Amino acid sequence: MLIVFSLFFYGWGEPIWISLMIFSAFVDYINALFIDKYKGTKWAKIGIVSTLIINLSLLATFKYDVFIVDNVNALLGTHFKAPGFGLPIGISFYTFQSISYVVDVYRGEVKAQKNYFRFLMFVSLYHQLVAGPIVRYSHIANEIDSRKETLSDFSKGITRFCFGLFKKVVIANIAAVLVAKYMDSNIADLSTGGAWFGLIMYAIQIYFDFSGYSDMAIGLGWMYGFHYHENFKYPYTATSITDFWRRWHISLGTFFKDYLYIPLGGNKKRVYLNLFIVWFLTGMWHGASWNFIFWGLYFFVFISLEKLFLQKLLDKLPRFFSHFYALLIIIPGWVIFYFTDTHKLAAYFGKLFSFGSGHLWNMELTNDLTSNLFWLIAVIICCVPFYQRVHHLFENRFRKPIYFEVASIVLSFFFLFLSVALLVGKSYNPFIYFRF
Amino acid sequence: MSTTNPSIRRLQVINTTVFVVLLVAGGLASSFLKKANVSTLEQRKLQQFPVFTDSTLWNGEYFKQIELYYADNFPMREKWISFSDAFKNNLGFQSSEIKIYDPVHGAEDNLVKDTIPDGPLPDDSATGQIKKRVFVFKKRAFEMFGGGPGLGKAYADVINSFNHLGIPNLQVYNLIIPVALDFEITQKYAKLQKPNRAAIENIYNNEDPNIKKVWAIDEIRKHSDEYIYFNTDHHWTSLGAYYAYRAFCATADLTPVSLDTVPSKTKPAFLGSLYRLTKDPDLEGNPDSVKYYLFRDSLNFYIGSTAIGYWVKSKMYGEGASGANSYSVFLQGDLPIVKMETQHKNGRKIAMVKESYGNAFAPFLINNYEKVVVVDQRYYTGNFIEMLKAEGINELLFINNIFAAHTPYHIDKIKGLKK
Repeated sequence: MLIVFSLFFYGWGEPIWISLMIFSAFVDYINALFIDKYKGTKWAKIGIVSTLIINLSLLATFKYDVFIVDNVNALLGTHFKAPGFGLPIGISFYTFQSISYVVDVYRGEVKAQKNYFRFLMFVSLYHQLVAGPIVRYSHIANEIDSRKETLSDFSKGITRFCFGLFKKVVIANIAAVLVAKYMDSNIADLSTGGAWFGLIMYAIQIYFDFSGYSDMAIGLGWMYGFHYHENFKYPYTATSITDFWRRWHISLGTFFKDYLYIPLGGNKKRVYLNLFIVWFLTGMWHGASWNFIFWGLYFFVFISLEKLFLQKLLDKLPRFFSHFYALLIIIPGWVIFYFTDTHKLAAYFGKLFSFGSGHLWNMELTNDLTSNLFWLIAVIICCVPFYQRVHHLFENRFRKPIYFEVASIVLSFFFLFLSVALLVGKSYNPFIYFRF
Repeated sequence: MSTTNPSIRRLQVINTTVFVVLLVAGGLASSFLKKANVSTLEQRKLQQFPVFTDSTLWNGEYFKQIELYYADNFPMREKWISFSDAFKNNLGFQSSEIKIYDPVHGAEDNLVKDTIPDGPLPDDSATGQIKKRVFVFKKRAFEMFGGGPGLGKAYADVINSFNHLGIPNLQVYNLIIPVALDFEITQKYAKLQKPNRAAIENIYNNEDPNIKKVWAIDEIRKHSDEYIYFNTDHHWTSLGAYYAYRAFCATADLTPVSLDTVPSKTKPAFLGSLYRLTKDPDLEGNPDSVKYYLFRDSLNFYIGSTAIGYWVKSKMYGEGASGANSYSVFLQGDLPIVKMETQHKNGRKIAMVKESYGNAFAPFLINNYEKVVVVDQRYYTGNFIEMLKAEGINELLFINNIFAAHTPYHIDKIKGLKK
């Protein structure tokens, strides 16, 4: 039932590429069984190599085709044409999930799934297919075979889902309008304050968008009896870049750590080369364009610096400095993430740090700040573990957990109501000209 | 993770029940409530349930249309929309003096879609994209102009290309219409938009010297305290158009008609496009009226088609226009091509290429010309040059508002007339 629904959900957006997902899942399913059978022999290696080749070449073909061809052409002066299939939804997520499964089978950490449909269900679970988290087979192996839906989980799942929807619709979508207004406008006309404001809005948009999707996935998972791992832990409260990546898109960070960094030798040998490779590929995973690779390498630089000496220094300073340092690196990093056009990227950086020259502030910015002030305050509260603190307070100090539960549920329905209103409001599409 | 606390368990039952009931009720309401075809609030047709075809299934279009159908037919949609608007207007303090609305996407994109890409236009990201933002000030709505010189030059280049059509003695004119904000803006808000005059100067300076440029902006500015632009609509009033006409007459060596003795009619209660975009309550309380002049000159008005020489007799004013549609009274709205023939047998025959601003302007010309042909650059698909020759046109006026003159869509469309 769940699998039919998941496939239907996927087919809704990608009617054609559903075949690709079924094919890829089938290959990985067979490979895992093959590995299981020949465990410990060199034959097992064939299984894993073929899984890696097939999944990574699927990614290369569908995600990086244009990028690879463009770069080859630029380098060799050739004129190859990329097939340009367009990116099938969720391919970055499900290929990684399949790889982690097959590798875990190879390492003997999980048993191979005997039932193809159960495996296909794992790959196609509609909760997280589109925007993560990257669910490890090993985390939910038991639940795939024997799931238990409980009332408690279902109820918690509803609340979590509504919170996630709220983050996406009421925070990220509203921030997105402001992002477009500042970051897509003519960069030369921006004030320095406006450039920072637009960028901070983007930092808000991307965090709440992504973590909102993760919350919805986790909530839906609970409703169906799956327990996915958390994907975000208040990343903007990080005290260093290393810390940030333990809090941001955790399922991706741990994937690269477990399946790339440690096999490469981890901290034991060639540490900085390993880090370089990991961050190069982490950047590249985010999109088929050089700016994403630069973005990954930007973090490589700071993580390396922290390993070398910075972390020790930060530990000696008051916490305030660590927070400030982390945000000062993370937020401008989003500029690299945003602009695929390197000229605009450079121009925007120029604006951010052009104090003194030109204008620092303008009236429109004041207007945008004041007319969104309540919203901004609410958003900042959502960036810090305020909700958890209150929860803790009710549970342990007042010993009245029920009050907190009631408040959470009421709040979640209010959030649901707001989200629906804003989503319906988006369909308002007046015509200036009369064209019936 | 099992909770033994019975009150928490009761709460979970309630939570789950309410959620499931809401889902089911919403689903039922969405399936069985009566569906509307047209939204009067938005002046558009609502999405209808799509027809199933193989090709739309495989490219995902079929499902997308089903989504749009349910979005457009959501139970109590208009109530949700007004709640959503109220919520978004209260995310912070609203300045009582000035309110800024971001552009509502989709409104004009629908027109931009069918642009014919024909040679690259300059990427104006370096010099300023055209971006329409609306703000409400003293109970009136204004669009903010932000066009850059690159697009202005592209427009001028296209106008120049019509200066060499090979039609002997064809005099080309250009008239760029400023927008209302330019005359209302106080020093405090001056930075919200780019000054119109500099942008018009940029266009005129890039045009051939023998193209006659009409400085309508200077004439209009002398009357900026009169009712020359609507409060709730992006167009100008016929009085605003009249002052532009006076400037045109000065350039074209004509004597402008005086409005003192001309009878007129008025369409009341006009809430225009900018009201529909913002739904601002201040605007709702300040509706417009559309005045149009009934010149006594005998006149033959025709609606044409792509076929040269094919004309159907009709009326200059679409008197049936009313309410939100009132501006369509002028020339019956945006028809692709219309023609007016008068009793002034002075040999002066003008063709006018315009967007909707030109509709309010064209009627004045019948006081001075033997023939006036009005072409809408967006919708006319016939052979423009052959038409000019067939009608014996000897003057050619390009009249565009300053937004249109900085919008690739319009520039492309004017360029497309030469094909």
